[in-house]
This record gives sequence, C-alpha cells and structure tokens, in this order.
Amino acid sequence: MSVENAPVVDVDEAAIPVEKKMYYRFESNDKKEFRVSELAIQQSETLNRLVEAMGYTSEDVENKPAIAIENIDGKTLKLVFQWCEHHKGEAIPVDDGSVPKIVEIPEFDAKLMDIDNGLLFKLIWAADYLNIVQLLNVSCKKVANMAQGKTPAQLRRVYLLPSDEEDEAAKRAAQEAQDPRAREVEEEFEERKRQGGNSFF
Amino acid sequence: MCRRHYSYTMFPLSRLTLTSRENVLKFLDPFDLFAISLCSKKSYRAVQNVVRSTSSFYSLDLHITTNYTIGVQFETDTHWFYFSCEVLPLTIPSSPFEFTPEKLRSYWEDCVEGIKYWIEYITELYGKPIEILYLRETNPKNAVEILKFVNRRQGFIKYGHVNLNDVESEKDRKQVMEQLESVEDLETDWEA
Repeated sequence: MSVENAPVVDVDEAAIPVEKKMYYRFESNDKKEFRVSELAIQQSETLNRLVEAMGYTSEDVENKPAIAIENIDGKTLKLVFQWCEHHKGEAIPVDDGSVPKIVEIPEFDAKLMDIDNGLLFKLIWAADYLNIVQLLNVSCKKVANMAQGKTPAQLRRVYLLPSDEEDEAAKRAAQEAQDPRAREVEEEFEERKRQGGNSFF
Repeated sequence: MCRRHYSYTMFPLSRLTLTSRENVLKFLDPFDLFAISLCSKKSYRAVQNVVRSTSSFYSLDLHITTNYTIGVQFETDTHWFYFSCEVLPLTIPSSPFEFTPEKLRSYWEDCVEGIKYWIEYITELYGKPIEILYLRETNPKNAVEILKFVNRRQGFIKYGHVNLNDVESEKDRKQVMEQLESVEDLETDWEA
C-alpha cells in the first residue's frame, strides 16, 4: 500500500463505531485538521501528556475546537500522524546505548520519508518537538546515511556545513545585531590606528 | 522552522536542534564521524561531544616508522573499526589531504610538525591518550622530538613495541631510550 493511500490520518470512519475508539482533533498552523486515534497519539510523549492533561471526553473532542499545534504545518503534520497511526501500539524504544546506534528503517517509513530534504528537515523538527522517539530515530538515520563514505569536502556540501570563516562572519553579524554600537567603536578604533594614534582613549 | 527549499542531495544538518543533530551523529560509524570533525571547528566540537561520551570504546596508537601515523581503533561487542591518519612528506604541490576509505593521508613540509598536529587533534577529539607505540626503522632525532611531545602531553604510554636495529649511533639510541622510559610495558625487539 502506498503511503499516499494509507487510511490513517484523517477520519477513519470504519474504525470508529466498532469499539468506540477515542479520537482527538488537531490543527496545524495552516489550519489543516486531523483526527488521530488515542493509541496513535501515545507514540508522541508531548501529545500524550497534553491530551491526558486536557482530560477530554468524546463529546469534548467534537464540541471544542481542535487542539492547535502552532509551529508545525499541515504537510508535515500529515506525515507525522500517518507514521503514528501505522506504528500505533508499538513499544516506545529505549536507547540501549549501542554505538553506533542501530535502527532499521522499515519499508513503510522509507516510503513515508521519500520526500525532499526540506520536508525531511521539518519532519525531524516535528518528531523532536512532539517527542516521537522512533520517528526521530528513523528520520535521523536517513540523514546519517547521507554521510556514508563521503570526504570532508563532500560532507560540507551534503550537510551545508558552514566553514570556519562563515561561522565567524555569522557570529560577528549576530554580535553586531545585538550591539550596533560595537561596530561603530571598532570602525572608530581602526580609523584612529590609520591616523597613527597610539591610544584609543 | 526551515523556509528554504532543499533538494534531495543537501540537508541543513547544522540547523537541526542539538538533540536531533547529536542523534544523527550517533548513527555514523567512527570514520564518517571523524570526517565530519574535519569540516570546521564547530563540527569538531559537535563530534567531540558525541565521541567523548563513548570514549571507552576507542583506543589510539602511534606509529613512528619511516612514516608517522596515528591510528584510531573502535571496538564494541558488535563493531570493530580501524582508521588512521598518515603523515607524508610534501613532494609536489598537491592537496594537503587525501581521503580514502579508512585512511587520511596528509602531506607536510615538516612531517614531525604534521604528526604533532594530528596527535593533538585526535587525542583532544577523543579525550584519550595514545595507548600503544610502535617504533622502528625511523630517524632517531625525529623520534625523540615526537616522543618528547607525547610525553609532555600525557606523561606515559601504556604499551610500546620498539626496534632500534637501524639506529647505529649509541648516543642516538640512548636519547630514544630516555624518552621510552615513559612506556609502562615496553617490548623491545633488537640486539642491544
């Protein structure tokens, strides 16, 4: 089954009446709404704690506004909830301290993550924010796989790693943005040096 | 959040949160991690944070022979990796580095300075001293300078395998041996 057709994210009408499963409604920052099963939510420590704290009944879910997730967009949240629904009921993995870390990427996850790296970045960010341990593991593993057998020069390109000079420039820019007077003082100092002055003060 | 568009071939690793970035690094094998450390000072520090938390799996060895090499061994119950940084004389103008699977070759006008650089780089990266020394068929004066450098940094070396058959001058041999007094378990392989 392709990821696009996975019947899990939006309303799963067929599943609801059978055991009166509890669903929750979430809304992304671009106002896309999702219905997600209680079991799927358990994959996310953040959301699980949130819904527990809210103590919603089935009626509350229908009558109250959807729970807003304000810093994740609909496209990313759809992937997140597809992943949670597919893996619902699975145990949350505990880091066994193995080095390097070992995680297999299942076929479903591989297809789900067959996306451009901008969206993969957002997916990792969301998995981290929502504390979905295994989604964070498989997505980080996918990023780690990009490094295999690369030289430092290739790694700089693949991971867009700034050089020392670029890091320094960014640091200076950040400092100047914080204190615009600093640059003025520096320029004044340089000017006085050019004029042959020994002391700034 | 990231608003730029990235292709399938580029990923903005440094823009991830610290937790996610470290998670990515923890999936890398030791040689790929080492390669990342060479990208920038910031990358070096990021890798240092990860490898130092698992430094008990690493051990370092130093080879002072016709060339100078520092090796990094990584061993757990399930994994074994070995890679090395070899210092070679710069003969023709070329790239200062040559990166091949499991080996980094770097070219220096002064190879003693080159190996000192890598000793400092690697021992600081892993937070480990050099444990094993292999010394044979080498220039004794350079060997003394390198050993003095190592001794100043770490005080002792756990194991040493030494052959000074090629050192003809008694004075040179004595000077090398003086520096080898810091080796706790010294195995010699020459006729005194």
